[in-house]
Amino acid sequence: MSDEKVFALIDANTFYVSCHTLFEPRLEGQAVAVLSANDGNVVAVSPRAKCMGVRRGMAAYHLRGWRAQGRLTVFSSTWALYADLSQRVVEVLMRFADIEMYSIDESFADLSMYPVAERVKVAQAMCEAVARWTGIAVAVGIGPTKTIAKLANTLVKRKRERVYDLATDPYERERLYAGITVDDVWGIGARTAQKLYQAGVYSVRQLIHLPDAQVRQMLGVRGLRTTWELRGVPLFSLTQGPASPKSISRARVFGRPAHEGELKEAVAVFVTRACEKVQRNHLAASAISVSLSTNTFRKREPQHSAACLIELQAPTNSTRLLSQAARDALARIVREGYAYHRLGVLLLGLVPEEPVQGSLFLSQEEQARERRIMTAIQKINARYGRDTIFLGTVGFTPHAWRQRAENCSPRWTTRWREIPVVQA
Amino acid sequence: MEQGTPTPGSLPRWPTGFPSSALEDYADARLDLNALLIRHPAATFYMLVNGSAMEHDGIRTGDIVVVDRSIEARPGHVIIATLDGQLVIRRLVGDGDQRALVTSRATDAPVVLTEDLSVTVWGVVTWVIRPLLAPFPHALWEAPPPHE
Repeated sequence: MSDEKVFALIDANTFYVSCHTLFEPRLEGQAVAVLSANDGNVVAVSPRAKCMGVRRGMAAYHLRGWRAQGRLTVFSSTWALYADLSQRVVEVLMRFADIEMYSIDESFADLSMYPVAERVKVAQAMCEAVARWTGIAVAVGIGPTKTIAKLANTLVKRKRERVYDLATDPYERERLYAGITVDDVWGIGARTAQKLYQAGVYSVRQLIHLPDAQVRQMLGVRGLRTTWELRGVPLFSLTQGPASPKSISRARVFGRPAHEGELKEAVAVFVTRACEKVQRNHLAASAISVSLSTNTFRKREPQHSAACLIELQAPTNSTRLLSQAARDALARIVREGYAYHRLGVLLLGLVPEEPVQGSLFLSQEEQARERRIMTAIQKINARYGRDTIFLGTVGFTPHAWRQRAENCSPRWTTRWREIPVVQA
Repeated sequence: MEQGTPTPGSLPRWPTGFPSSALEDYADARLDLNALLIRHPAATFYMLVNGSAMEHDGIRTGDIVVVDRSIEARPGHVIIATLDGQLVIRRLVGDGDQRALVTSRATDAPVVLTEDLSVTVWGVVTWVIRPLLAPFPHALWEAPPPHE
């Protein structure tokens, strides 16, 4: 009983839109769309905009008609604002449980230490606290595994409720599975879903009753893990699981308390690893988050959990720039005298790497230098093994580059000059 | 006399009932305004005041107010509210169904809070920061970023 696991996935409803409406209440309930970096296409829409036909992925110029009629408010991505509010949400959640940030608007929580009867109440308290403290509305899915918690969260949004518990009643869960298609499952992408459809497997219920050998043959070990998780067998710890398509994370739990030097080292390694992955997939990150916490199960020791999210001036996949940002983030949250136990690095707001993009923000010379350094490191690592060279404390001067963004919102919470004006 | 108003010679000991631990963390370091002004960092926001409606409450144009969303608004609190889609600063008065937002001007009619959703409490004002030397906009507004 005591080793039974319970996870929750806490997800903000239309997070980017909520960040804007919080400080511009006139937009509450209105049609709002948020554009990607460089105003390329739509990344978030308010419910009202969705009703009008605005969809994620739409190119910005398709919005001209609505905007000309004054029916749609459009914002450029304001990462400083999203990063700050996201961090506030995580800080509030950390008051309740161990938290693993999964993407800018989703976090996993380990609720295993709460009695069964209290889980839903705790989840509701989390929703209320986040809404009151930060103004961001969140919904919670609860499950005995992370995969089920994620699924519960998908359902909670469809049901327009705040908390949905799939942990308590396995029979109820199995009944529901019959009505859920496999492509709704965390870790099952479009391609994997196609394979299953071809084999005649449509519902999650069908999937969990397939023999392991067949699942493994069709979906590989990863798919098998996901299937076991759907059956209610926890295989992913708080820091593990399929990667988010929106973010890349590296986290670990230290076997013994880590001191500041080790933390710095770990951050450098995590960033280097995460960057390799970002570069391999030709992506760039808009923000980076570093989080750390002490061992919350050692109640007698002084406890400290914190996260710091840093917005990058422009999306980048440069290990050098990201390492610098991560070091800054770590320096801001680490406190002396605490035995840190867990550390995580998260690259957020992943966008396709655009070769032209760099030239907008970095001078030719800087760009060339950046490229030379990165290529040299990659070459050496490819030749002598991954960790032969990784970036130490290289100083860099922040550049006065800015993104092309025509519908910028003020950065309400990170610039004194842009704080909201209140009418007296 | 109104409760909480300091009389000459008897300063209020600790105006907002701070938990002592928040300040003790910094006991051996130089005094840090953050420890004094911010009780709930995740819930604290800053806003710039514009307008004269709260002047008799000592809140003027150009003041920066510290707003804590985690505190439950009680009668007597100065709050930030959303009124007709706008952020406004008002004093909350009355109890139960009789709650209203008032300015510090006797000529302004109170706005009675009903079930109407167009009025909501956004947060509670905990401190007012007023620049005395620099005229508005405050010198802070023009400060160069630290890296330049």
